[in-house]
Amino acid sequence: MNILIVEDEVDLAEEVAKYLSDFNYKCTTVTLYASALESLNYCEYSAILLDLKLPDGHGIDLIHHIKKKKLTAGIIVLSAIDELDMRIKALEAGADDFLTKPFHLSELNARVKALIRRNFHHGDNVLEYNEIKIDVAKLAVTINDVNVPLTSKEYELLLYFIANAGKVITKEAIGYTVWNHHSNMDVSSEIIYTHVKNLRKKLVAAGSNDYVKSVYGIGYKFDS
Amino acid sequence: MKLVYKNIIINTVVSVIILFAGEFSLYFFLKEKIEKEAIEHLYLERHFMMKQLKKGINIGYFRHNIGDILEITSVPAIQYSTPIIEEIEVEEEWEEEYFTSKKIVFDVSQNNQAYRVSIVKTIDEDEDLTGSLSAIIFISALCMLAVLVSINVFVYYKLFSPVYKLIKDIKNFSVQELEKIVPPKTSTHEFAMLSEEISKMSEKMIADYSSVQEFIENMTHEIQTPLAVINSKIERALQDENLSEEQAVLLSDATKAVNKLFMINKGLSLLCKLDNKQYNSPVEIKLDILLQERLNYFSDFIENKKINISETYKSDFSIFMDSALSEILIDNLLKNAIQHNFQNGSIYITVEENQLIISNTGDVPKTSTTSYFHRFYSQIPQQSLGLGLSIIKKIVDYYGYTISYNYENDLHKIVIDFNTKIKTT
Repeated sequence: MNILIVEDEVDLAEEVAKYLSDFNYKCTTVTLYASALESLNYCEYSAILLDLKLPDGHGIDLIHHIKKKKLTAGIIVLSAIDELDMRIKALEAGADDFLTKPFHLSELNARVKALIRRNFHHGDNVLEYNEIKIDVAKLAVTINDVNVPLTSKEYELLLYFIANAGKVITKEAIGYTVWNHHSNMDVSSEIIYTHVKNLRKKLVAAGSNDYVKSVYGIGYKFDS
Repeated sequence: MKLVYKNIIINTVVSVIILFAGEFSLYFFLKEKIEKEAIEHLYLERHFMMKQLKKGINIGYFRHNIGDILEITSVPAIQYSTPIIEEIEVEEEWEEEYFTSKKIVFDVSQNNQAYRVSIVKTIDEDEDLTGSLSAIIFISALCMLAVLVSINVFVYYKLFSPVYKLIKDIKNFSVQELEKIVPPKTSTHEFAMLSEEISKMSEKMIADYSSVQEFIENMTHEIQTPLAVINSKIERALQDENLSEEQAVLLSDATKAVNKLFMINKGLSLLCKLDNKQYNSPVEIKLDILLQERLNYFSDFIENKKINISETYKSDFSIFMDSALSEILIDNLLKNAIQHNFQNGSIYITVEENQLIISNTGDVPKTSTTSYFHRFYSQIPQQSLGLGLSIIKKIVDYYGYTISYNYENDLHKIVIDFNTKIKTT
């Protein structure tokens, strides 16, 4: 899977590329609008991560270009402008998702995966991780074909964990992603702990291995 | 008191005093002068008479030619060799009136016969003139005063109209509207200078305000990308298998700080946008539905602290607000009530006609509750940034609602009154 990262902040583009590379994505980073156009000409991408404010152009125009050329690439906008207007503009132009800076790499990764799943696995809505199967369309989780009833937060947690399997996820990132970009409210470690604990209990009780590992002082790691 | 009335009162009082004093002095001066003239005249008559007598003209000859009334009577001997002056009242026969007159009495002798001469000069007619003159002057002065007052009032209003306009403009001036005060047209140098300076001042205020706003806007915006870089670097660093526990905790703490920075940024950017009045499309929002929805959203936090929520909906009225702002308002209110609550505490939510009351248990306030609305005020800085209540206040102000914060009966109580004029523009 090829991913094009259009971001003028080289440091950020590289960090994103490195993180995503660990999940077998081939990432190309460009810093200019013009180079993005060029890259689109000779390579097919599954996803494009797009900053809106580029030194030589605006991301929205690039979205228009992609849509005009009927490219299959999904688009996730990465913007420093957290405004409803901008969000609507980007989505109307044809962007699939909108992520406000600063974001967590784990969250971006989860969104990239969701996007690619939606775009390229038509009809196949089942996500598998060893014995765990998630039917994304029905929001249903089964372990060894036995249904595991989860609360919506537990479901989101599991999805997030699986998307970032093998990576350490901080509590901040979990609070931020699963508790819906919550405003200034500190999602306390207790709340996260309670939900993770419940999720683990349910999974283990249904016969799954305990994949969730606590990483002392930081957060969790979902790993086999 | 208006300047014009002050001016008129002072002018009138002083003018009237001067007028009366002038009138009195004029009257007495004229009277004195006339009397003196009359006496001089009488002496002159006597002198003339003596001269004629010396020439040998018979005394009987003078009978009708001297003074207003002349009396010559024979006396046995000369008694008044020096003349005496008397003031007498003379009766006018046909008018039955008395006139003030001056009389000179002296004795002369002719052909060894002594005579007593008395010459009378009436001065009453002259005094009449004095009275009329004074009256005319007095009336003219009064007329002049009246005209002066009217001119004063007229000129004042005409002259001061630019000042009144300026005062009105200053009253209506709001730095957020970004409209400077236009100096009113005036030919009065001082007013023109004043208006010019005030206009410049307003321009400067707007420029300062705009640059502060621009600074906050730029800062809050430009800081986002570096924050994203820091976050990503830390996140990737945390993946290192060889990371010691201590290093991991250090990195994790750094993430927390970045997170806090991001929250501050978000709050300030919101306050900045509210200052710039960038929300313009109010929609109808059912308060009870919004409250229930947001309470549901916070359910994890409420359950975590085991907070008891009690809701009372006495009315199902709607408010007209930008939908994002209404959510931010309610979220901040609930967050405040949850965050500063005790474990096993309570929150009481009451919706009455045009009123929302949220009370919660919590620590006794250490300072006056009014300071709670200030930016970055927080009782427990580790727990909150201290922006929530100032955001609430800003939104409430933005729509012209009123808010109060009280601590009574061991409860923190916030009341928002929506019963004020709703801004639609």
